[in-house]
Order: sequence, then C-alpha cells, then structure tokens
Amino acid sequence: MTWAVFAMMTLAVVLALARSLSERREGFGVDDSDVAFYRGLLAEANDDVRCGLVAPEDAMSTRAEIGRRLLASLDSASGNLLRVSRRRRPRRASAVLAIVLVLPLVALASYLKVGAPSQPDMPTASRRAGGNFTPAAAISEVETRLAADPDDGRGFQAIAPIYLRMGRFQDAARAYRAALRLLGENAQERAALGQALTMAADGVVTAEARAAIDQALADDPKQPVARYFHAAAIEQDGDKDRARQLWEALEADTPAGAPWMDAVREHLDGLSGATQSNVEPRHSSQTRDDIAALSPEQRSDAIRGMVEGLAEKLSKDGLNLQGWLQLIRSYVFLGERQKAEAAAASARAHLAGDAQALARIDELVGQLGLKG
Amino acid sequence: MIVETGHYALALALAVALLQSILPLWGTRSRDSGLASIAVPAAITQFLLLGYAFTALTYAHVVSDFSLVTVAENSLTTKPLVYKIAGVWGNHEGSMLLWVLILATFGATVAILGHGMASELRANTLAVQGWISLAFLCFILFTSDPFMRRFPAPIEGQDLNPLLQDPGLAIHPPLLYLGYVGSSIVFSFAVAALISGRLDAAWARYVRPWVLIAWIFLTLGIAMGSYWAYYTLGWGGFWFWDPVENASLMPWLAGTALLHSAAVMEKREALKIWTLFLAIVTFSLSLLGTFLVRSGVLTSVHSFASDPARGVFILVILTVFIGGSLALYAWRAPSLSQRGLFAPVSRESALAVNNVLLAACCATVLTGTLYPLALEALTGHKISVGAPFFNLTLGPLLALIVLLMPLGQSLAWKRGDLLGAAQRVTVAALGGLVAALLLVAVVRGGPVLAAVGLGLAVYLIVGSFTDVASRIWARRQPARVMLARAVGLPRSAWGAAIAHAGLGLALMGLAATGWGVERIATVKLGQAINLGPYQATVENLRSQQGPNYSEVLAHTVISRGGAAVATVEPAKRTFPARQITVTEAGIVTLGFGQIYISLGEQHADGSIDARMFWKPLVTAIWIGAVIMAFGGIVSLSDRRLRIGFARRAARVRAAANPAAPQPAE
Repeated sequence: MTWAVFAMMTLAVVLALARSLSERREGFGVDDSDVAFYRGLLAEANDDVRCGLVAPEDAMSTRAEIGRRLLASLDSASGNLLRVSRRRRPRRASAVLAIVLVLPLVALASYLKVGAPSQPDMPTASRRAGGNFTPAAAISEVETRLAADPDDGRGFQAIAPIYLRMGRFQDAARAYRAALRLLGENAQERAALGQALTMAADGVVTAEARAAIDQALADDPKQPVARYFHAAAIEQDGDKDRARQLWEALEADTPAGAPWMDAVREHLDGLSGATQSNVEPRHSSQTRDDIAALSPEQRSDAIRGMVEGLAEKLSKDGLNLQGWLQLIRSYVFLGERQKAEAAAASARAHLAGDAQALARIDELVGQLGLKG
Repeated sequence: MIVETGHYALALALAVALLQSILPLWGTRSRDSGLASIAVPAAITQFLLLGYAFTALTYAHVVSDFSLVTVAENSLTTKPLVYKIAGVWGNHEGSMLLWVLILATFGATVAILGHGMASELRANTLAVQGWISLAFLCFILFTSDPFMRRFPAPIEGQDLNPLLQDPGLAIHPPLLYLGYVGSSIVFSFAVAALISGRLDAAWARYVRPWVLIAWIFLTLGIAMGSYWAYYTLGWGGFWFWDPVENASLMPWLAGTALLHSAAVMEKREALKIWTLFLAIVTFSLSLLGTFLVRSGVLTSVHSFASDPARGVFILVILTVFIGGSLALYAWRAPSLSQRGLFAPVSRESALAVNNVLLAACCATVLTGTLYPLALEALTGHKISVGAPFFNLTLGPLLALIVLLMPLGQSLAWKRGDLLGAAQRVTVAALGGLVAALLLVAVVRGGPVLAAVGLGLAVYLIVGSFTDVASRIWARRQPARVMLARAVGLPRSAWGAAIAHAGLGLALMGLAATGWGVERIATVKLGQAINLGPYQATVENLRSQQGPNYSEVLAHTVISRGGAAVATVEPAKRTFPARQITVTEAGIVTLGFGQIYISLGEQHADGSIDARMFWKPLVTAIWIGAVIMAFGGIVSLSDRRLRIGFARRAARVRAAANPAAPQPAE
C-alpha cells in the first residue's frame, strides 16, 4: 500500500515535469517583457507630467533617455538570438530520460537511505489500549501537587522513577535529590540518584554519581542498583579483575529472571572478550528493549503496565517489601486509591510472616491516609 | 502512513530540485525554451511536495506520534495545541524544513506570477533556486532528518519547558525566516543575471518587490524578537548586541542598502554591479544568520564539533554558496556593461553615500560578531564584544545616515540642487533644533546625547515628509488639486516617507532611554518608589497556584501626583518539580512610555527585591519598526512593483493613450 502511494506520487511528478518537454517552441524571442517595461516607464513619465509633478521640458529628456535604454536592451537581446542550436531531438530525449529514470532513482535511493517504509503512524491515541494511564497526565498531576506543596517529599518520590523511565535524567536526578532531602536517607533512592546522574552523562559514572552510589552501598551493601553501577564504575576505571569479581558476585546474588541479569551477563562477556570501555546503562533501557520485542497491542499493554507491571511482578514474587511500598505510593499519586488499598491488602497477605514489613506497610498506609 | 509518505515527498522534492538545478540552465544555454520552461512545473511541484511533507510533520506533532525523534524530543501529549504546532519549527530539524518550504513557496510564486518576466531570466533564476533547495534538502535528509523514526517509540515526549511556550516565540522564527529566505530569491536573480550576462533596469524592477518583501519580514521579525526579549527576560533591556540578534541585524542592514541601490539602478541604470554584490552579500549574511543560530556555534565554537557531519555540511554549504557566487561575480561582473555616470549632487549620489554608510554599519556588526568567534577558535580565549563597542562605532554612523536622509530625499534624480534641497529641509532642521532645545530647557540636566538624539529624530520625521509635501504643495492652488497630486504621487514615494518617519520614531524611543529611571531596591509594603513622574507602591504580596507552578504576585499601584493611574501585578513563578524560578515582568503602558517591574528575592520581613523602571517613549521603538514595515507595504503596493507587472503595464499603456485621458490608476 505504502509503495503504491509512493509510485503514484512519483508518477504524478514525472508527468508534471515531462509535459513541458512536449512543447515545440524553441529559441528565445526578443523579450516582449523588456519592451513592455520601457513602455511602462514612458507611461509613468506622461502620468507625472499630467499630474503636474514634472515640468514638460524635463519629461522630454527623460523620454529620450528611456528610448536610448530600450534600444540598448534590444541590441543585447538580438545578439543572443543568433546562436540557436539546431539539434533539438537528442537534447529533449536525454531530458526525458533524466525525468523518467534519474528522478525516481534519486528519490528512491535517498528515501531508502533514511526512510522506514514499513512503519505505520503511531499517534498516541492509537497506542493506549484500555486504561487511561499516561505518564504525561501522571506527571502533570504530581507536578500540580508539588506546586501546592513543594515540601511534599512523597511527590518527588513518585515522580522520580517516571522521569527516569521517560529519559528525562536531569529531572529525575533533581527529583531524587529532593525526595532524599525531604524524606531522609534511603539506599534505594540514593542508588537511583546515582543511576540518573550516570545516564544523564551518557553512561559515564561521574564523580557525583559515584558518591551517591558509594553512599547507597554504605547504607545497604546488598542494594542491586548500587552494586551494578559500582561495578560499572570500577570497570570504567580500568580495573578489570576487580570489576569481574564484582559482576560475578552480583550475578550470583541476582534472583533468576531479574531484569538486570542480561545486562550483568553482557558486562561479563564484554570483560572476557573484547574490552568494553563505556558503560551502557542496560538496567533501565532493558524495559524499553523488552517493549521493543512486542507487537503493538502487547506494547500498549506493556506501557500501561509501567505501574501495573510492578503489580504483576509482585503478585508472583510477593516478598519484595520495597516493591510493594513503591506500588502503593504510585497508586495513591495516580489517584487510584482503591487499587492502593487493594495493593496494601495483598502486601499484607504476602508478607504475613514478617512483622517488621507489616509495620512498614501500616506506617505507610497511615501516612497516606488509606483505609485498612 | 502519512508520516512515511511525507518523508518520501521530501526525498522526491530532492530529486526534483536536482533536475530543476540542471535542466533549465541547459535549456537556456542551448537556446531551447521548451527545455528551459521545465523550471516552472519543477518549482511548483517542489512547493507541493514540501508543503505535503510539512503538513505530514505537523500532523505527527499534533497527534503526538512519538516514533518520530523530533516529536519525542520536543513535544508532549498534554501540551496545548497551539504549541504543538509551534513545536514543529521550534527545533533545528523542523525549522530547516520550514526554511526550504518558504524557499519553495517563493520559487513557486516566481514561477506562477513571472509571466511578464523575460522567460530566460525566469528559467535561470529558478535553476539557481534549485541549487539552494538541493543543498538544503541534502542537509535536511542526511544530517537533520525531521522524519527520523525511533523504535520502540517512547511513550511520552520530553520537552515540557514552559519558558519556550510563548506566543512571541511561536511567531518570531517564521517571520525572520520569511525575511532570510526572501533574500534568496534576490540572490537567485543576481546569479541568473551573472550567468546570462544581461543586467538592465528591468531586472532591478523584477527584483525590487522581492527585496521589499524580505526587508518587511526581517524588520517585523527583528522587532518581534526584541519585544519578546524585553518582556520575558525581565532585565528591562530590548537589545543586547547578542550574536543571535546581530545575525538578524546584518542581513537587514545589507538588505536596506540593497533596497536603495536597486532604486538607483531602476531609475538610472547605475550602481548595477554594486547592486549585484549587495544581493549576494545579503543572502550570504542570511545563510550565516540561519546557521549561526541553529548550529550552536555561538554558545561555543567547540559545539560545532559535537556533530561533525552537520558542522562540515554547514561549512560546505556556506563555502560553496558564498565563495562560489563571489567567484562568479569576480569573473562575470567586469563583462557587464556599466552605464549611468552621475553628478555628485543628485539623489543617486546621496543614495550611494547611504549605501557606503550602511555597508560600513554592516561590516562593523560583522566584525563585532565574528571576531570573538575567530579568536576563540584560534587561541581558545573567550572574549565578548558588547554594547560599548557597538554604541561607539555605530552611533556616529547612524547619526550621519539620519542627517543625510531627508537631504537625499529632497534631491532630484540626475542633477540635484544642494542649496534648494538644504532650504527644503530647513524646516525639519529647525524643528529638530527647537525640540532639542525645548527638551534641554524642560528636563534640565538631562543627558546631552538623549536631547541630541531626540532632536535628530524630530528632524528625521519632519524631513521625511518634506519631499512629499513639496511635491504636493503649491501656492494658490485649490486643495482639490493638491489632493489629486497627493493621490497621484507614486506609492513608493509615500512608502519611503512613511518608512523614514518610522525610523525617526524608533530613534525617538531609543533617544528617550536617556531619560529613563531605574531603581533597584528592597521594597517594603506600602513604600512609594519614585519613578520619574510616577510613584510605584507595592500594596501587598499574595500567592497563587498555577497548573504546575506556584507564584507570588506583588499587587502594585502606580500613581501620579497622589492619584492612582494603574495597577500591575508582576509575578515570580516557581516550578518545584523542575526547580526553576521565572520572573513575569509587570508592564504598564502609560502614553508611549512604560513602567516595568520585575521581582527578585523575597525577604522574611515581608519586603521584596525589585527592579523598577520608568521608560519614557519606549514603545515608540517597536511602533516605529511596525511603521517602517508598513511603509514597505505601501511601497510594495506601488503599481509599478506589482509582481504580475507586464499585464499591468499593458493597462497603463491604454490609460496613457491621449485619446482616452483617464486619471492615473
């Protein structure tokens, strides 16, 4: 279909151009336009006299000068007229050839170099299956709340990961900093700050990012994001043996199916094979790459599942306390309080044996003013 | 599919541009008018293809198709529709597409309306347009593709910066581009004349409307950009001698010179070679302006290297077009016949002096803009050339131009009478002198330069109409005759008078900055601050919620002699999520002057820092610019300059027939 439209467009252009070649006229005559121009000048001179703007005797000399210029112009034009070349046929034929062959070939070649002919349009409206969750709406909602209360640390906590997923790394880093300042230290968010800073620097673990990661590790030596970027930093420094140890340790501690597993393996492969100089922040782009593999319908589901994906993961592996807390917070900030309450209930069910975890859930439910 | 067909239309336009740049030239070289006339359908097809491509890109922005990299990087689903559309040209890729679309629009206009033009000139001109189009389309498709796709498509776009969402910023670039690209048509005419070796007064007449159109849009674009900077940046300034601003001022100066030299060429067939040179220079400066702003070379020379493909391409385009056309000029110009010596005292020689002065202004701005860049590239030192340099160098030049303007207008073509002209402008000169003296007397101790500037401005405004008045007024003539003369006067004479007076008005606004009052103070509530004739009192501060910001508004009453004349609420907005603070200046227009208040830090004791200005006559600057543009439009409406000129000429001829005397059109 697309190709048929391309072919029709090309055909229309070829016809439009070729049509003028069928014209038999040849040679440039003495241009009427020049004569008309100087006649116009003469008419103006007459007008000026009639309106009384110019004295008649001045107009005489003006007319004489215009006449001289007209003659000079005709002279130079007739000089050109003499050399009319005779062989029209081969010239026209090669012009037609250029239009019929060169034009489509150039168009096609340059399009194929840059185009993506098989890709459909993707207006956002067509990409939302069911639900009406859009990050923009979520962001503007949270930003409105933050405008009302700039010291609402939980708002920053909710918006930071969304910024991070959208690729707005600077904004994400700012939001994580604000959340840490307002809500106190938290290894997971400190590590995420390091991640945002690294990604803002195109995957280079900067000194600032390194400081955040080190602090996160000091608080929680098991924090996987912090460990990931710590290993990346060491590898970036060129200490390959130490980096390999760190990657291997992280691999060993990573539960099967964890999203960052592939990225860790890739780093290990890179170290054993060719040297890898730059750190590709695989951990976060992983979600995007997964989405890439899906069909459009599944893709919209996956997008909507930015929050709900977390819910699904938790329904399978319900022992992740941080995950549950994040999910409850996210629902509240998206205005879906019922889902938040339901999530709190399932969290309690999953973590029934862990008194400390239950206390944290109750604390959060109290803070957010949820029922239950 | 709309997106990809738009993309293909762009590629097809590239192929058409390739043929358009070769076949018509071959046709005119081999005297085959049928082959040469292919330029016409080619130009029109190109316009249709690029129009479609631009529509497709706009569609992608409106429906938020984030599979396009440019859309994802510059749009957002929740952005208001107006700014989604403005976002099409709010970035490098889209703005380049807009550039070629405007180019193609002008090209198609020449193709459709150019029936009266010599067909050889038209074919060559369109071929040169084809070269420009070809270069830009290659640049767009291979280094700055607005239709580049990314998969997977992000779910949401990135740009949310509310500062750029401003109506002024939505309109300003297209206006400026219309000005820049308008000069490309003039350039094409110039190169076509060099190729064919024919250059006469008729050429100047075909070119003048295009010079005028480019000049009008540039004038409006510059004024608009300046007003935008004035009201958003919160510093109370309207011109910063910033390289971006200079980049638009240079083609304006060169274009103004071109406008005047083309008039000389049309009337007297003199200054031909110089006019060609100016046409080439104006377009070169427009190219430079386009790229200076868009390439990022201004922030740092080194950012040029961040995207080498783009940087090299830009350099190649600049070198080929500027260097190539100048080389062609050097080769061909000596063979063009020069005619029309002129007397030292005549309107044409006054216009030649004006050209020299404008060219000097332009060279000064160019030096001040490029010297720091060159120095940084060569030695790594960063220096900035600022207002003092430009004020010192351009001030005297401008004063000289203004002094000569009414004089030149009062001189006759061919052989003028300096004494007579001087007599005619005496009234204006006296008016200016009286105004300056009065001001010095009334505003005792005011800066001398301001009084001089204002005197010059009055002289210029009065002097602008001296010529028109002397051509209309006659002793012992009934008013009816004078009215008939006024109507019969060529519109271009009126246009010149209006545009010159507009410059006078703008100059008045500039001169009046000398009497401006500026107060930077920590203001307590209820405390009156003296601002020239007015007092500003901040009565209370209140907070308010916006969609994604919170703002503090300072309710301020402006009073004069104890009576309140206006209230204004300057504001300071804080966007907590992005942690940006923006000041929204409070502006009240009183007469032609403005009170301008912008807020700073708020203190614990309830006081607030504020910059407060009284700017007498400041609006005259922009009103003057709009009047200048209006003068251009009046001039454009002159029947001699209408684009479909040959058909008109036939009617004029009929009208001039003595057998059927009719009033002039």
